[in-house]
Amino acid sequence: MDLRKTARRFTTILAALLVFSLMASSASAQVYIHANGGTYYTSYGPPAGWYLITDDGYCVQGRGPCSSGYWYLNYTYNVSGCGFENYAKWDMAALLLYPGDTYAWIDDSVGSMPGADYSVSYNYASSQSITVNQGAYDEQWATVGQNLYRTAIVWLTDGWGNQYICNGASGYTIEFDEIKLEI
Amino acid sequence: MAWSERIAAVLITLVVLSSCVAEAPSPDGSPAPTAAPNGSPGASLSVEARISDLRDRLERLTAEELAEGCTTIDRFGQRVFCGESKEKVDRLHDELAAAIQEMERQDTDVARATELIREVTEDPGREVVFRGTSANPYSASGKRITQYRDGRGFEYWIDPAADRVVQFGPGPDSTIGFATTGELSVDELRGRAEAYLLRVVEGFADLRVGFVYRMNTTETGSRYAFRWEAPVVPEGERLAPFVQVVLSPAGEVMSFTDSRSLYQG
Repeated sequence: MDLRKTARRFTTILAALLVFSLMASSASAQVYIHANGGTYYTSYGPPAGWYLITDDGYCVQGRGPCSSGYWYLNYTYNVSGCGFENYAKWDMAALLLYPGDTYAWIDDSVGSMPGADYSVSYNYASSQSITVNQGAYDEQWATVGQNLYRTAIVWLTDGWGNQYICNGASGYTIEFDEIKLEI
Repeated sequence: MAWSERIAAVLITLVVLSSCVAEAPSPDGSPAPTAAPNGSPGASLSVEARISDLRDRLERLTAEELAEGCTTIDRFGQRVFCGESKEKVDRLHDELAAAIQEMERQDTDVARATELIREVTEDPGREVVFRGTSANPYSASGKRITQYRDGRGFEYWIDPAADRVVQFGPGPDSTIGFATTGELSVDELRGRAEAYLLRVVEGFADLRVGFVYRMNTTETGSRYAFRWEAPVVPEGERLAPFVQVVLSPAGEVMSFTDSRSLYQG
């Protein structure tokens, strides 16, 4: 019996089964994009703290395919000092068994906060707080989380991020728009 | 653990074992190239097997700590690890992330990326560290970018296939301070923006003719975005390719994007 030939056939069969099973678990080159206001979005806090601009943000008329129900962006004004009042979360559609990167769309109309308070929940019960300078971007994608396994939820508040915790400045706008998870 | 994941874990192990007597193909499903530095399938598999092993260990440790370790409720009302459980899980997670980063770095020309970054920042001494790879968020092509970070907190995205910087700006947790006021007029700022792009973007002079120009600023004038965008959105895409530089009121470069190459190949 040719052991090498047998092992090669065995490996080929196993490799085919491996490809099939990995396709079922969908770990390659996945992208999930979730809108503010969509099925995977939940907002919290006093209604008076939320503002809306119609036909603005990532989803706008003419930038299709984007259902007209999503043609708007939300924003708040930042909380001065410690804590937060209004906040939102984006739940990912599926949990991917690979570290992923999350990006936030920063539009051209709002999003001036230099220390936006994001948080990414990953790996069942891990959480990472991330400060993002929304004010440096304009109709661009900005990185939020990087290399986080099983990225599950992205949070954003109207408070100051960790790098500027309890900062007393006010008057900045925080944009709540599309979040994208890329592998 | 889903049935497909269990099969994948077992088969990966079996493939590794069978490679002792025969060559085995690289597992599919990994989003990153898997070639080992010397081209040896054996070296490539050991990195991937290590990643698979780390992932399995992380899953097991996480399950154990969830069942019997330290958890608490965070500011959003969700259950999160604390104390020693958090330390152990974070350590193993970081090990997994580092192993993947090591694998991705094997196919990355960090020296060339550093040269490109020094050109676009016009800083011959700029030093950066490799952070990983990702599918780019701008185009549906899924074309991968490599990511770097400098000591100030700027993050850089490189399109290695096109050999160019496609974006840079303040990265996560950066505290780069930009001026919030300035004496420059919009025309002066536009002049600076165009002069900069002419220096660092190949073909910018021709691009200015065919692309659509627009300037945007915020209510408070905290940033000025000078953008040249393709007149047509490519089929299957949501965003048109564009070149843009965002300046502070004092003329500092806050961010830069040249997304054109991300739509090709």
